Amino acid sequence: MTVESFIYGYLVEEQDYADGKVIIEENSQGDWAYVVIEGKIKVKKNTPKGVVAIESIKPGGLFGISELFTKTDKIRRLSFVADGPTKVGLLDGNRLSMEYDNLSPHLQSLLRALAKRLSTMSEKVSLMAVNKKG
Amino acid sequence: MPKNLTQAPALKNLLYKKGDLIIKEGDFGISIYKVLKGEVNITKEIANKELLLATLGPGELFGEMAFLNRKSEVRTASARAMTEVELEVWHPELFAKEYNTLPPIMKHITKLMIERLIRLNNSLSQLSVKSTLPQEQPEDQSSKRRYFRKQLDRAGFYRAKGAPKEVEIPTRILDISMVGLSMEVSSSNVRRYQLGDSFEIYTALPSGQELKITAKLVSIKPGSKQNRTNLGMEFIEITGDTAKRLGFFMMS
Repeated sequence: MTVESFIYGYLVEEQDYADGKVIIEENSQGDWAYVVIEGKIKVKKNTPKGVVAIESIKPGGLFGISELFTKTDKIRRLSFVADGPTKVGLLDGNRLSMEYDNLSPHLQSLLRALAKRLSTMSEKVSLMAVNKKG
Repeated sequence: MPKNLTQAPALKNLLYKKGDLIIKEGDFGISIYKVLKGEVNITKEIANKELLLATLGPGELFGEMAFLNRKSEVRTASARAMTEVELEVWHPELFAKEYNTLPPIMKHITKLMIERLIRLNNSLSQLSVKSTLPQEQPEDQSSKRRYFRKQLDRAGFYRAKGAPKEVEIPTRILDISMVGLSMEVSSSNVRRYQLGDSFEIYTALPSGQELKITAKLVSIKPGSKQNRTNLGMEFIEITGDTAKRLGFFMMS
């Protein structure tokens, strides 16, 4: 997957991260969203039995987007860590927020529902993965 | 945005009693539901076990996965009312028009979220299957009876698989599910049949849509009248179109 051309219109800046660098930390506050330009990102979740990697995000993939749709709670539910040297693009959060605010209530509900579902599914998968490891 | 697209695309409100199954995993359907009152459990059946994915309350949506992942249009999870529940159902066609007004970036974000949800769903299934393998039991035939059957009472015809196309033996389809049907036939024909024989069955839904199904004979029982026999059939081949039509009929 490559970065869709229209995404570049939302780029504020490009950032380089070394392997293992944390870009978004779970439980921190924020609503910056990113696109992976080069390299890949590991998605990690803290569980009572330790940290679990639940998936990878490749170039073209976005991350940190869920918090754009939750107006009251900007707590990050997952950590996003560079898996090897990685270049990411920081997206214009204000513009994305404005576009979201202009959507109809039904479309806003849909995006919120998907963001919430992603959060609960990530939690389920990480708990099952860590229990399997014992 | 055109005014009519900003108005609520709700077709109707539905009420469910505690314990009612609202949507069933594997069924066809693309309506989106919004919980207005009560609680709904979202579950997924993995290795014969029901896994609770989420409990939804007022303001929350379900059914959006099948709407957005139009490749399958199949429900990826079941939804059951845990209390008395009131739902708002969004009409798929009207909502599709509204969905098409999304700016490209928001459509792209939606697509990526759906792709990640599908990947997480697959991971969850794999992890659940692995963790339940030691307890796996041989398939219980009675589980097949859990499928919801719906009365049909429609005329049709059938022929033994491989018989010439001109052979059209009349029958009456009594009821149907997503996996089988029962049909009444003349007892004189049945003497030649054995359990396991395959048949091609043709009928139409009340809407007029045709169904063409290949099924095997699994039971032979006396019919409602003399010289009539009921045949229980289990589907072995059903085309995508027929499955879709049947799925929508089962939900209507």
